Amino acid sequence: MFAPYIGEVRQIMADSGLERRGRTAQFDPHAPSWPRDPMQIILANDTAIELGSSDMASVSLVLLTNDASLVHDGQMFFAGPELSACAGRSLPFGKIILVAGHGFDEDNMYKRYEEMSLQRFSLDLAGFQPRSIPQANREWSRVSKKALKDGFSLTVLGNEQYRELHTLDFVDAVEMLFITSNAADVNLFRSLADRSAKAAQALNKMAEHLIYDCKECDYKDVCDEVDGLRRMHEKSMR
Amino acid sequence: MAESDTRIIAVCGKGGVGKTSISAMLVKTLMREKGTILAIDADPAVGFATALGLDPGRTVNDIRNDVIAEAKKGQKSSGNETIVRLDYSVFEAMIEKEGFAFLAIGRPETEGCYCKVNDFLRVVIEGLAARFDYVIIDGEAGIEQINRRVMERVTHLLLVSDASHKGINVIKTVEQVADSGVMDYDRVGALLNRLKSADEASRVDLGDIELLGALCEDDEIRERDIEDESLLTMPDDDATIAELRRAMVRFGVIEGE
Repeated sequence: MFAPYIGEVRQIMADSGLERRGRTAQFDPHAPSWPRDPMQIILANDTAIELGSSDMASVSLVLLTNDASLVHDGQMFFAGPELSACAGRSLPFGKIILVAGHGFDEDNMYKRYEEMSLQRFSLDLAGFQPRSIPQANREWSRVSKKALKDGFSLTVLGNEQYRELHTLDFVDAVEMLFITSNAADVNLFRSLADRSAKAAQALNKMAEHLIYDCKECDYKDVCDEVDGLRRMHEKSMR
Repeated sequence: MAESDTRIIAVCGKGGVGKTSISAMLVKTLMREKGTILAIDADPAVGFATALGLDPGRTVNDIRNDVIAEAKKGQKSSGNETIVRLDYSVFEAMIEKEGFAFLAIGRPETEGCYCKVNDFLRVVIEGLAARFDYVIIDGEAGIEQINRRVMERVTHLLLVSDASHKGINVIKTVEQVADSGVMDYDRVGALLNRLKSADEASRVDLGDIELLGALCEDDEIRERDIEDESLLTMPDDDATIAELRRAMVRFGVIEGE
């Protein structure tokens, strides 16, 4: 359903030159698991790095497709400095997760999208505290001083996120992009983030079968843009 | 979620008996212990913020109103997404200072019934509080609004009164209301405040409520109240702070030395 948006991500990467300025890594199946701490709180005094705080550029989204050829499984892209070089700083943050899966239909699409979307915030990685506004596709995360000292990095985050998403039986491929280079680079994806957030809201509305007349629906523009959404809605109304 | 061993202290009692000053001095007392502290101002007058030398800033009620405004505009979100978004906003509204964090609840809602948003906010506040070692809630006289707007369960119900018959009646009523099922708690105890001398405590009949400590009028507090100065600037060796610490040991909030 989000296939056009995934194409747009590739286009933005190529047109802006971001692709050339970044580096890639591959999921490491041998990397040890990062410890978990479900009851942690990272307060300002314990924070080494803020990512995407409310006064910084922030984009965090999950884009889902049933076309596995659109997602390079296990690939991670990074634009910006290593976290280890950023202690004491507040950075803009872009996190884009591309997921290919199977078995999506009008009954399960929203539930699965939400499951993946919220899973980003339930990793409970020790020393990493994400908070989000899903409706705006924003994320504000903190990395603790201890975690940074212990070697926490965006590669660690990517590895753990990859593992977690692959625990879902309908997920076939996961690719991630992390951008901390500057606000302009993160904001390249802001319009896309706003539109995909609206598409997710349309999915939610559809899941609740609230509106049956496209002319009256607030999300008509999203359905016009996202090809599969209208078909799914029409099917759900039969 | 893992089990939390957070000690949550709700401070209740008649208006004017010094609940807010005691709440602020509790923050100061607990800052000497090892652990994280969340101070919650559940009184619409937001006096707790002033006593801690803070500007309350954005309140939980401001967040609630934003969410309701978005809903009225037709923006759709699932319950889970709304909770995640509220969690972000509440954390953002929390003021983080050296030694403690602070959250203001703000004025009670006035328009319409949005019970679901209130329930979500309570879930978020309870989830946030469970990650701290100590939570101090400065409320209005009773506990009903703490239960409705902050959390359903506390570990320690701290009842504050002066030596007046009216003040004592209020705390006895608060305990009865709590026991009727309004608030779940582990321990209850009373602090007598603003006494002319410690002897006055012996003239007060608290019934079954455990007396935790007796605090006399304190010029250091009075001076700061007049000057609108934070009670965190009280001297560490102040007699009230020392008595408060002993009371918290008796109450099982902190370990004795």
